[in-house]
Amino acid sequence: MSSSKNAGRHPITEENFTLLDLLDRLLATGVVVRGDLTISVADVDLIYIQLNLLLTTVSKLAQPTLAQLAQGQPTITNKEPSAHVKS
Amino acid sequence: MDNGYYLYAIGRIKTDYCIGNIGETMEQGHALTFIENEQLCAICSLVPLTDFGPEPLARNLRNIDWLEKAARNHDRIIRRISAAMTVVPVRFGTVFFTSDNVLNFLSQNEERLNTLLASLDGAWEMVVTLEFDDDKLVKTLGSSDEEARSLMARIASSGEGAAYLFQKKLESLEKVLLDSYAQEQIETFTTAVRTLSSKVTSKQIARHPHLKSSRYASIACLVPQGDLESFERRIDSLSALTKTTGLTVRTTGPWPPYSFASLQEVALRGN
Repeated sequence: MSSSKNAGRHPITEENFTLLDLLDRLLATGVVVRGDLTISVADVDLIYIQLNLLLTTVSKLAQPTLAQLAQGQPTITNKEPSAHVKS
Repeated sequence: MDNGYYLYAIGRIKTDYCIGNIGETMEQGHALTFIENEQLCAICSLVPLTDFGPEPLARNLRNIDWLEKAARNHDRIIRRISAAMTVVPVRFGTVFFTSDNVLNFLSQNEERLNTLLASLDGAWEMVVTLEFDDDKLVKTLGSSDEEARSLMARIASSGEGAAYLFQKKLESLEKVLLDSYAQEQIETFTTAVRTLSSKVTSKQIARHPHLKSSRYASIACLVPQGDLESFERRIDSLSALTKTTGLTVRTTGPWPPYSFASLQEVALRGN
């Protein structure tokens, strides 16, 4: 097992998380992301995230072929569906 | 329109925010802006739409250097804000076109945001990651399964045609064993963290062709600040009990509670 052993530090400590871990938290759809999300409120575009991202520099990932990218291969199973919201 | 409002977090209004030196924001030269509505404030900074508009952002996200710098900046700023006040941390890449859009969002979602803020008071996110290496695990699981051992013996003692069929049968069995083992481990850790955390969410990546480890699961947990150390100790001891070649368990955190503060869900509930 490996562990970051961070819990003893103050939570605001800026940890040297890997980019993989960081993006897994910061991007709603996870490590490898494809998708389009637009949330609109009051008919004005409020939040837009157009992500079509592959983290090829992360050591855990192998370089995909252009054909794989072009085919839009499924990446992860995710419990947060993309949405277009109007209110 | 040249600039948009990049949103970092939403908190309760204060007379003095006392966040201290925040360092560089998402765009150098633009300080944090506090947009207040009733009891809530949105903590933003101006960003140029030439970098953060829909098309430039999509382009920038493919630039790993740009993305890493921006993502680390985002996380650093939210950690510093979180040190001064309880906030709903917003995920990366949330941009409002105008301050009126921000005010409208706060106004229309005030009750839900206040409820969310109350649920996040004094809590941080810890993440348990399970990485399964199928190539290594299949040897361990296959050698301890009677049916798998029998098939391996038949493959060794059969002619080419029969051996091929037994091999296919063995591969199917190995997939079942691997799936079953992964689900069992995910359930074991999820059950364990539920006793330590008020909220738990998880996601799984199965058989991703670009991941060396054949499957991956991350379990995010909302943990009170006072329980962070005991949480990690508990996961350490459970990991020692379940130690197997081919399974790697990692704990990361504390994080701002990103997984429990989805603005998307806030907006969806309000729809």
